[in-house]
Amino acid sequence: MKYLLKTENLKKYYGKKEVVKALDDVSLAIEEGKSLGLIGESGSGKSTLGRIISCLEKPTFGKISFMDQRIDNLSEKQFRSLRKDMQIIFQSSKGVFDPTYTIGDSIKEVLKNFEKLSEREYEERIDETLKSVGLDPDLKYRNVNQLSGGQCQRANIARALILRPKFVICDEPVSSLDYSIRKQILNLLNEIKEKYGITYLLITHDLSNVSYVCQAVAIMYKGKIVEYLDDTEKIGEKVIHPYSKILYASIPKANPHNRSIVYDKDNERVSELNQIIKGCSFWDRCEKCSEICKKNIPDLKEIYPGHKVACHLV
Amino acid sequence: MVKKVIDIENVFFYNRKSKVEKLENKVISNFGLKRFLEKTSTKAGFLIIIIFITVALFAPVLAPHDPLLVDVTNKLKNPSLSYPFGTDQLGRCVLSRLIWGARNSLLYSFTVLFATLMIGVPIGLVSGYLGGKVDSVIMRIIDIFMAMPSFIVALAIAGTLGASGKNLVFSMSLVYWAEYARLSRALTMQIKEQSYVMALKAGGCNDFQILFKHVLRNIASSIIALATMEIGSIILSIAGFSFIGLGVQAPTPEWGILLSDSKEYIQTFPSLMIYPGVAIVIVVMAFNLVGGGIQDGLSAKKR
Amino acid sequence: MDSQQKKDRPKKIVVKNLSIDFDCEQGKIHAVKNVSFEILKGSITALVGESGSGKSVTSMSLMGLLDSNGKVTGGNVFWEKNDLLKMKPKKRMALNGNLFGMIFQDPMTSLDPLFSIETQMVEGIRYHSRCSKKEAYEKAVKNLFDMGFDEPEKLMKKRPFELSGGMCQRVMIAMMIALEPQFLIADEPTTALDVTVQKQILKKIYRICHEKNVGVLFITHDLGVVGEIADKVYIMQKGEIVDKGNAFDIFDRPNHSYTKKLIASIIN
Repeated sequence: MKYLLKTENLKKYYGKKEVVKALDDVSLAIEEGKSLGLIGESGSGKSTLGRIISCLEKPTFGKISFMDQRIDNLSEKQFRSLRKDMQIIFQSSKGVFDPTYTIGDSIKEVLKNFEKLSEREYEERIDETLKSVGLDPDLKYRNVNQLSGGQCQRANIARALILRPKFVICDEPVSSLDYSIRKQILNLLNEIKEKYGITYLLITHDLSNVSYVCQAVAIMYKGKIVEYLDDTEKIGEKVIHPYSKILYASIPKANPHNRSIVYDKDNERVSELNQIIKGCSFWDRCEKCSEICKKNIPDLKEIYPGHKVACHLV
Repeated sequence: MVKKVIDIENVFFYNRKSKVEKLENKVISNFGLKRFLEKTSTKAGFLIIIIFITVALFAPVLAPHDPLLVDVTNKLKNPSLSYPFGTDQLGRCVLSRLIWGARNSLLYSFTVLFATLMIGVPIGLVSGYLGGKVDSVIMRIIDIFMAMPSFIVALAIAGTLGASGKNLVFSMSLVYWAEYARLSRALTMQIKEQSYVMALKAGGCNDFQILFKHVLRNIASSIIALATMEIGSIILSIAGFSFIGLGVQAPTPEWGILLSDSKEYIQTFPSLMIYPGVAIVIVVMAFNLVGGGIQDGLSAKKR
Repeated sequence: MDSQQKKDRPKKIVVKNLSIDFDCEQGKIHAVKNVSFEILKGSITALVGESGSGKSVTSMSLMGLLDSNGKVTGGNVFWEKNDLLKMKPKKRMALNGNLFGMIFQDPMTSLDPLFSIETQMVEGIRYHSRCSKKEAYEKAVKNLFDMGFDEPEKLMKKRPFELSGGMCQRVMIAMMIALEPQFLIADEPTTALDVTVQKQILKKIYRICHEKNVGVLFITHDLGVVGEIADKVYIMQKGEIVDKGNAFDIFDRPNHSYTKKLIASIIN
């Protein structure tokens, strides 16, 4: 099997005295054409993983290989040639474009870094890319502040797309957008995926986004991957790890006929304040927690083909 | 003696640090700059500056006489057609000396400004961008220069290298660059945290591109604001240093020199002193009006 | 008995034809146009709209917290025959504390990082109801416990930045509830939170509303949240209310094209 991207035992620690483990032993593999959704809440390390894979940060320990080439030990200069194939779309906010540049110039700069073309070819390429993300090419003369949130995110996608990358990391691409635009952007990501043959790493906190765009899913909790599924059809019913279940049950149901809050018991307690936990990182929130969970860290085991879970109780 | 020096320092160079601090929190796009001209006072200031700069540029054409031509028989004349502002104690045309004085004063001030910007801004950019040890070393150096009173430095340099316009420019640039370095460092550190810097890195831009094509552009308006506020005080200090004999030397026509030359005639012929004094006041005020206008524009944008 | 019955009758805040303008450089902006709705005690009223639709401005005007360049140009807000908008500012501020509690989107910034939770809660309670420090403290402990904190005494020694976003939001709600307001205005209270925490907070709000008979105005852009807890829904677009009804009707039989668009954009 050919892997586009592979990480092995990736670790990232912050701080010197009080070590914060942002990533703890993360091993992932992404096949070409099989987009992976990485789900986690804030503080789970999912964004750190995205930045490390795109070489914007260095891991403390571990190996990353991209297109059969090890990249974690490359310097910024050596990695630059690979950026053409690996792009990243940041969480949509106006901050992702230099406010003193027009959209066109921002996109052109990226293109200029990698390809030497004539002025006209540059313009044509930019127009074409803007059209493919559903933007009017005339918008390239505008500044970020003159774009709406949705347009801004489309332009952001256009910038990542202009180099025709093989692999795109999307870090929360829709979470800061208005509700009605989210679906449009996800649809756009899907269209582009098929048109240009791109593989995504979709980093999000929203399970519903994942099944929309991705073919595989990994769920992260406190720097570890707790569940990996090779299939995103009806993930909610297939997940086994207690955390994944809670996560799935927490998605608000837009259909009021399915509302669950009315019937749910309200018994959550919040007690720990920055408690350091031994054993499974989830035991304090787990309903089925047993003695072994408090002592040993569970491994990520394959229970069915293409389905891995890190839990003692499975 | 020491007390007097400190007093002069206070009068000439009011609170430099606080000005930098005021601007440090203001990273604003150029948008604010475009609007600054809306205010009438700013427009007036801008107009005055343009007039003075034009006068300075065309001094050889505009001046009716040679500013250095001594004609003792013609001394201390009242205004007449050929000498619109009269003549001084050596019979030189006061108007011509004022016009050439504008040229010299502005030239020296802009040279100081240019030099400080050229030294200060790149150092601040690199220091803020790299951070870490490089930053702390550079910051300590900046602190040392910020602590140096420009008066003492000018005195020391005039004492060792001799008092001249060139040496004054040198000594002032030596002190003033630190402000720009500090300001641009603080602004760079803010810009560095913006997500577009990371987006640029991901887009394959190297550090040089990011710093000088993006960061510099984004902090430019704040630096321009400081520079316009500063230039008034630079003009003042150059005139001040020349007045007390530490800067430009007589008989070069320069406003400070004009003032110091005429100080003996303050009772008998006060107009000699009034003309350069008024010129300095007007120019400094004009620059402060524009600087204030820019700053208002910036804070309006922030709101 | 008679007075008891009077209390049981649902009380409500009625907003009638509210219009708000903002003075900007580009001229006047009509942020809110002729908006009418009511907030019933003991039920959750949701105000749904995208950013810039005027939903937050509406809620701010209820509390009298509009920015200095914003102005109410017409309409009334009735509470027991009093028009809040026509009241004297001083009287209105006094009424506000007992009438409204507000929860903001970003709990981290609405709590003062310089003071401990204890100081902020006790001060807040004592400001609104005359009671001793000890009573206020006990009240704070009780409310924090109700919000799910196991050790409220320990928690109260902490400062806001030592807590996570979800915990801050709980503290914020506990603080508001301790003041025993009749209405709770929640402006995107869960947007900045994780999904699992969001659900817990929603549960709390739902429970408070029904157990303590508090009227909730829930402002959000997320239709999912609306589907979970709202009783009555108003949909705002560009400063106008384009659709209204109870949550089931809105979902089953949307009238307005914008509502239909919103429902079509649900991802599942």
